[in-house]
Amino acid sequence: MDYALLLMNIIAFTIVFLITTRPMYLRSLRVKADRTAKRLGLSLNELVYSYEQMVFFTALPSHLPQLKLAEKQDILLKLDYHSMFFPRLKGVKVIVTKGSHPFDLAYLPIKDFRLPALDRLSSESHLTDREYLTVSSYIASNLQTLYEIKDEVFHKMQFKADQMPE
Amino acid sequence: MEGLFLTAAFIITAFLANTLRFFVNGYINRLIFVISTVLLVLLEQWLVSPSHTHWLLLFVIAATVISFHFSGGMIAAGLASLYLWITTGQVELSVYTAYFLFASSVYAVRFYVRKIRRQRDHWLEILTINSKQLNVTKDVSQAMQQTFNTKRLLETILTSMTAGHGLGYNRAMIFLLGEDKHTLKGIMATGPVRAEEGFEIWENITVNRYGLADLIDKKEEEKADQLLNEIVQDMTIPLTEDSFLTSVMNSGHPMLVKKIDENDELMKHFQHKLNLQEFAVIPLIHQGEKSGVVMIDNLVNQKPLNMHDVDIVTPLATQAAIALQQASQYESVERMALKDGLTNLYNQRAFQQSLSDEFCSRSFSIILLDIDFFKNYNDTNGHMLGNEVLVQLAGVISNSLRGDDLAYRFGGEEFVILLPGTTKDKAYMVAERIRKRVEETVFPKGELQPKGKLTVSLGVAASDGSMDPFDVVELADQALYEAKDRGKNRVAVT
Repeated sequence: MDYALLLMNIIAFTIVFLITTRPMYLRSLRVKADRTAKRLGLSLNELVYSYEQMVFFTALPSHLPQLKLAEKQDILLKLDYHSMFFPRLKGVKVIVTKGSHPFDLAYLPIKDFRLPALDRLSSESHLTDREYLTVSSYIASNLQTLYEIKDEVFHKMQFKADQMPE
Repeated sequence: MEGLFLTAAFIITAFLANTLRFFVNGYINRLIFVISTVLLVLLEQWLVSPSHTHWLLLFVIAATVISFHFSGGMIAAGLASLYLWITTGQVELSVYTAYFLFASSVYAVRFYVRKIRRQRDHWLEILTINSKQLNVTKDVSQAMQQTFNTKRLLETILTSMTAGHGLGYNRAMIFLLGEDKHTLKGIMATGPVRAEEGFEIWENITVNRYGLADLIDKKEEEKADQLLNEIVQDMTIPLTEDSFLTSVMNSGHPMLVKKIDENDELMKHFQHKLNLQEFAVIPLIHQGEKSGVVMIDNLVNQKPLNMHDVDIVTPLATQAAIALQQASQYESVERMALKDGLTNLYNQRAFQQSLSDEFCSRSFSIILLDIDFFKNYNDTNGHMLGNEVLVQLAGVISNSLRGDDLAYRFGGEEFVILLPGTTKDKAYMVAERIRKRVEETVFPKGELQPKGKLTVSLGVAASDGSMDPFDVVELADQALYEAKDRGKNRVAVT
């Protein structure tokens, strides 16, 4: 019985550890990004960002039924991390869940998620690469940003009237 | 009760460890993870029973291997053995051996997982680069299909190289081989001259969410990148002197320049004029023919370039070379279709096209010109000399025209001049100037003409924009007959 209890405790420890790792990492990003922004006199909410370097693995709009029929709610944005125990944001995956198999539609590597204001500060040596990555990772993982990206992807997926076959 | 207390302690430890470790550096983060597992061993030992310590230490070893690789795992196995020996007072060689074997096994699994993850990351990187390249190539191909306008094509190609939706380089410039094949001429460029200007452009693009098509349209409308364009278009580089561009053009191989070569005067000139530091030069080659070079750099974000970038740009450079050749061929065919082969003036087809153009709905004048006694000239001197006269006369007409005037060979020895936005009086003055210049020009065997020189007669007609342009041609023709009837070498107006 002792062994069973101990095993249960270890499993509880591992589960709690794994479940809280990413939320705690994201929380730390927010705190660190806030700190950096405060030091630089920036407002995180007003920072302009660019996700134009997002790479699409298929041309949009597409004639694939899975993509053509997909609704906005079928687009899933998934944060991609390095390592399970020591996470670092690597990028944002765009997956279309319509159909029987999820379709990997696009990927935005975090190194290509750029913010002009930070680029300028970085070139003037006011911001280290690590700080840049912290702020950009926070902005990229923000729900508002993810919503905007989803909106943009859905917009790209739509056939315009003049592109519709007669 | 103790069991529940222990479970709560384990959960709190996990939670606290995660709360703390992301606020410290990577090394301490890993250390906290290991320490939290050590804490589990101690809690179990102190609160429940020390009987599970020997195998609970495996948990610590696994955490250490995950955090500090093989060396960390070996140290953890050694320390675990030492701890067990101190707490139990017994030497258990089989357990110690198991610890080291366990550390090695966890490391092997970790190594394998890392390898797979690296391979996955590598494939993802290749996939993103190739997809981006493909998307840009597709955009450029579409642009090539939509237009033969060289300027528009080059704008599309350069914007594709520089826009974030495209390849994302900060600047791109195109230099083309001159007709003499010994010079490179700056044709077009995209990007800023100074980094500060680049940040402003970049911020503007980001705020307005401009796409590739928006950027190309914007470039046309606002004449963006004007300063860089002016500098580049002002450059004519002789390929007879040794320089990095001569080397690229001779070899046909791309060049990646990481540092300015002080011995290369041209490179120093580029550095001075365009703040160029690190850049790549890619030749434009199509069917073995080198037609110029594309240069790219990252002036604004100072992102280093490597041969991978050269590989990425090369297909676009090839597209550019193909597009340029096609556009050049198209322009050449169009020129041949609309120009007279002998005089190089526009032909009658071009004239018909001009008459149906929009400008005929506004006021315009027409001058019809005919060589006097040209049949006599040909009969006396032969058609070869007659052709020479036509060429020479075309030169006189061209040199007598104003900016917007257009001259056409109407057929045989007849020429027509279209003068948009010109009144009858002004058209008369132009016609009279031409007549006088022809009279003063010495043509071969002109002295054998009936009046001792070669002359022309001209008829002028005008429209306020309300007349059918072909009726105006008819009126000019009537005026020309009148000029002939009244003794030739004169201008008549209807």
